Parts: sequence; C-alpha cells; structure tokens
Amino acid sequence: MSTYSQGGDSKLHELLGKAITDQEFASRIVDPERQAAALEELGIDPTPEVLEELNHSIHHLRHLWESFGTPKLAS
Amino acid sequence: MWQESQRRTHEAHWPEIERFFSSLPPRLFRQAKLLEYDFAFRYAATGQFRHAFMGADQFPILSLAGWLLDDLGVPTTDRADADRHLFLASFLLAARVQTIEGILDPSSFSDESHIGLLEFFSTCIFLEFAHLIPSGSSGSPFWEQYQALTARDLDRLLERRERQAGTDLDDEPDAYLNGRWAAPARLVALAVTEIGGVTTAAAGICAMLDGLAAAFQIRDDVETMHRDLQHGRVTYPIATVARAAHIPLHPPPEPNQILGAMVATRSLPTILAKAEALVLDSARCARELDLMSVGSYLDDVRAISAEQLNRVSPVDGPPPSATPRSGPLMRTFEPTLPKALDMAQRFLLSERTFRESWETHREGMFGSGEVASRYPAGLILEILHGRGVDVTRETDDFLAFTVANDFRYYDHPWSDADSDTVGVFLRLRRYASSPTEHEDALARVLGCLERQIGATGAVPVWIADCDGPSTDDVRPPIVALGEGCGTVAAHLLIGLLTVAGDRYRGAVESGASHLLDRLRHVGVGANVNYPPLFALAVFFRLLALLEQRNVGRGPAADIGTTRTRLLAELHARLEAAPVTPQASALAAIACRHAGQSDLVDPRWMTTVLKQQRSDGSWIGEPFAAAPNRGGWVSWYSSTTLTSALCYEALAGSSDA
Repeated sequence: MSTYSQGGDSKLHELLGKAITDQEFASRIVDPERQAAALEELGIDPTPEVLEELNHSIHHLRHLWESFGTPKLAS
Repeated sequence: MWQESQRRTHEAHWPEIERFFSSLPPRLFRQAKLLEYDFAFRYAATGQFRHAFMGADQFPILSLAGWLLDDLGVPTTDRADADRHLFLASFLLAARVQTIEGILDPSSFSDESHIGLLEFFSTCIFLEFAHLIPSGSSGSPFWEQYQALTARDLDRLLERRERQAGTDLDDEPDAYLNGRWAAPARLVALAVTEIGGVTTAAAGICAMLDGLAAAFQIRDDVETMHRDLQHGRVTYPIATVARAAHIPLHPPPEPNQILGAMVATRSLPTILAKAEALVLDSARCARELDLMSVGSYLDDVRAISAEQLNRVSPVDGPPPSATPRSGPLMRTFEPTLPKALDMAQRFLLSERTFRESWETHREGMFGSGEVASRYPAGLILEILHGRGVDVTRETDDFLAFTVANDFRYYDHPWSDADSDTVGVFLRLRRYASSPTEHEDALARVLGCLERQIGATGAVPVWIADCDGPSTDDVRPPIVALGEGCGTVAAHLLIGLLTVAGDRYRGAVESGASHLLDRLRHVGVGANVNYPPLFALAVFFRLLALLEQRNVGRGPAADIGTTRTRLLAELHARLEAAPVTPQASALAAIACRHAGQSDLVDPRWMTTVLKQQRSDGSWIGEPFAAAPNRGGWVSWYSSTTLTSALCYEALAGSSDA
C-alpha cells in the first residue's frame, strides 16, 4: 500500500471530515466569506487551488448532508 | 405478496416471543428487556419491538423460513408447528447475534454478565430446531452443518476481536464483508431444506442469503461508520475508503480523515454500488431457484438500494428532494468518552452540596436522630478542582462549614476533629476565593495535631482533647473507629505538603517517617478505612509529593524502597481484574498516581462506561466501613462519590 501523505491530502480530508460531523463548521465552509478563515483554522493555506478543490467537494458534501441523521430516542 | 406473508407470520407467531420473554427469570428478563429495545431501535422502522425485521429496509430473518417453506412447496404434516418453531429459532438466532455484538461494543451497555443470556439463547435455538429435526436422524446432514456453522461463526467473532485489537488487519475490503445475519439465515435455510427433503437446493439458497446478508452489512456499516471509526473498528466501507485514499488502517485512522477521504475520493457511491450488486446477484439467484416470495422481496430491496445509490451519486444539480423510502444513510455519533464525561460532570454538579455523599447516620449515633459527615463532599470537590471545574463557591461553603464545626468529622459536638477532615481542608484551601481565610482556626487545629505527632511520631486519625480535657464535658465514653489508618495519615500529610513554607515541616517529616516505615512493613495493610486501591493511589500521591518537596533525609531516603514495596502490591492486586466500575476506576487512578499509566487496561474504562446510567451517574459502591444500627458496622456507599471516582478515572484516560 502506498504511504499516506501527511500534507495536503491529509489536511483536506480532515477539513471535509469535520464538515460532515460538525454542522457549525460546515456552515462556515459553504459561506464564501467565512471559508478562508475556516481553512486557516485547520492550518490550511486557502490558495485558489485548495478553494477550487473544496468547492468541488462541497457539491458532494451537500448530497451527503441530506443522507445524514442523528438518532433521537424517547420511550 | 411478501409483505402480506410477512405480516401474517408476525401476527401469528409474535405472541410466542412475548411468552418466551415473559417466562424468563428476573435477571435474564432484565437483560432480555434491553435487547427488546435494541431490536426496536435498530431493526424496526416504527421503533416498536413487534415490528422488528419487517419491511424491505430490514433483513428478513424472521420471514425467511415461512417464505422458503412456501416457495419450495415443502409438504409438511404440521405446517403451523414448523412455522412456530422456525420463527422462534430465527428470532433467537437474531437475539444471539445482537447480544454478542452488544458485549463486544465498548459503547454499548451490555457486558460479560450477558454471557448467561447468550448461553440460554443457544440452548433454546438447539431445542427449537430439535423439535423439527430430531438430533441423530439417520442420513440428516443438518446437525453436522449446525455444528460446523456455529463453530465457524464463533471463530469469525474471535477474528473480529483480533481485528479490533489491531493485530490482524486485512487491507482487502472484501475481507470485511461477512454479514451479521449470514450464519443465522443459513441455519434457517438448512433447516427448511432438511424438513422439506430438498437439501439439494440448500447450497444455492445459502449463497443467495450470504450475498443479501453482505449487502445489508454494507448498509449497516455505512450507517455506523462514524461510530466504528471512533472505536477503531474496520469495516468494509472504512477499508474501501482507506484503500482509495492510501490511508493505512493501522494505527486506526482519525474518524475525520476517513470521512473526509470518503468525500474527496467519491467512495460512497462505490460502496453502495457494491451493496446494490450483491442484492442484484441475490435476486438473480432467487429467480433461478424459483423462490417467488423471496424474489419479490428482493425486488423491493433492489429499489431501495438503487435509490440510496442515487442519493449520493455525484451528478450535477441539487441533491434529490423527494422523501426517501429508507432512513438516513449515515449517522453522526458523539464520541463515547467525552459524552460520558460531560454526563458525569453534569450529574456531579446537579446538586451542589453533594448531600447524597455525606456519611449520614440515622441509627442514633451520639443519641441523635441524624448525624452527618460532609467529608466525602470534600473528596468530590477535590476531584472536580483537579479537572478544572469551577466549584469555588461550593468550596468556600465547605471550608466555612468545616471551620464552624471545629474540624469535627461529624456535625455533632461530641464528635472529635479528625485528620481526614483537616487534610481535605488543607488540600481544598488553595481553591477558595480567599485562600488565607480561616487562618486562626486552622492554626489552632494544626497546633494540636503538631503536638500529638510530636508526642507519638505518628499522625493520629482522631484529634481528641485538643484543648485538654474539659471539666464540664458531659460527653459519654465514645468508641472511635478506624484509628491508625495510614491512608488518613497520608491524606493529612498531602494536605500539609500543599501548604506553602516550612512551618509544619517537622510534623511532616515525623509523620511521614512513621507512615513510610509502616508501609514498608505491612504494605497496604497500613490502610484501615478505605478500599485498598484507593489507599494505594493516596500513598503513591504522597510519595510523589515527598520527593517533589524534598522532605528531610529520613523519609526521602525511604521513598524508593517504599515505592518498590507498594508497586509490588499494586501489581499483585491488578492480577485479579477489577469487575465493578468503582474498582476499575480505582485501579486506573492508582496506576496513574504510581506513574504506571501503561498498566491501565482499556477494558477497565469499558467496564466504567458500560455501567454509566442515563443521568450520568454510577450506582454507589462500598467505600468505607461505618457504624450502623444495633452496634454493627456496615459499608458506607454513595452514588455521588462513586460517580466522582469514575469521572476522575475516565478523565484520566481521556488525557492519556
């Protein structure tokens, strides 16, 4: 198996993973005005390439968000 | 057609399950009741137990036997009898699977105590099948297959345990495709084909069911992916994403890394496409075998699979807005440990006097209707401060009360002051809003203690006759229990060592020398009042402080040998694995104070987590012997104190 890059891929994955599990964070990365700050918070330089990759993934994230649920129980 | 048949079978035989559960003896019944709710929550769209395993979005473990009997046209002399036994056997097989998974899941509330229930299910499964296929029937392959399948399934569980421990990880996603319902479904199919004398169809049916079980497993594993990642479990979806993103499976990847990689590599459609392909293949098998009911059910499963795949497929445009036929594909789960800690902390802070923890006596101590010691509340405050929780106001109140009560252990004028109370006062003082308050009162009781230590060399438990015997003292003779407890002495010495300056250095050196000498001679036998593991934690804490404060030549020279002696005792005590939450917590706390965090067994924290109640607390466990009715002694226990100890242990494991 190839080794996992601890650089760009790893950071982007962390960012996208956080966007799946943290709604508040997710709302920031879909907002163009707050997006760069959210990236910097995770130590990611918001270069045009990174932003393009992120915005491309946001389309898929939106599909995923529709598929998520949190169980709520009451007896 | 399958829905109607499923509904009829459930209606006809569900009372059998209700009778089965209600006939269980009390302890098994209690465990089985939780299982009922597990089934209702996980496998019933309505959340009702009686609807478990119904519908096209559930694996039809309870319906398979009836459908196969119909589809294979099995001539049975007593169809109702066969239906009944097979339905119950199917249910029990499912119950066995769920119970095993609960025990293995550290975030669940099932533990090894459920082994008895498991054994009972296994016996009943055997009996249900034996009603229909007598054991030892000549020419019958069923029981040999039963034995082999059961052994293989258990072996797979062991394999899964090893994988969870990270010792046998496979990078190949297909290695994680074993469906949890595969073995139960196979057994049901084998029984049906045996009863019907159509064993030649068994292999094809089993292959079809294996595929279907694997497809459902993928869906289930997608749904619980977040939780599986939190627990370091590897499943088919996780292995698929890891492979696509070149992420190694060991050490366990961070949950967000895998979830993010799933988005970046567009792996989810690939994973769900695999599930859909398995369903399609099963449907093809069903058609080839002429299984009409199973086939029509699979058509509906196919439709759901296709819809789920469509929901996540990377097509342009907004996400599908129509209400889906199935529930959420994935769920987010709060990590177990932070959640448990938050619950425990909020429980501890829900009543700020910690009244439940007070050692209260209503048996007539000192001839009074009610006497209490607030000392345990001091221990709880100390634990909370240690975790950075702001309980300053509560600490101020505790210290003020202690001074007003003249450092007595109990809130009665006949009670003596004691070293535990003075010790916890000293340890808490630095957290007060005015740490120098109560200086005079403290100096008075410490002066008294200093004189007593000077006279005997040892720290007393009870600080009696502090101001000399009073001529008008009407107090009758009182038997004070627990004198000579080394843990109390250690508690006081820790308190004195936290006081800045050298004012009490002489008393500390003398008391510490005496205590360390005892510890070297009798080990944890020097403890009288507390659970031994708690005492060990306190002793290790004292040794560390003595070293840190570089206290006098005498004790300092003996710290190393004392520690060696106590470490041997710690190791010996850990050989008998702790079984309760408090014992597990104390074991972990003792190891950490001993500087031996590597000895902390993760299973201890699992024991703690599995016994937490929904209000965040743990049931109180025996902590100290205390007087009780009729001149006897019984165990003091407190839900709040046990909960504080469990909280401290969990918080420590969270730091690790």
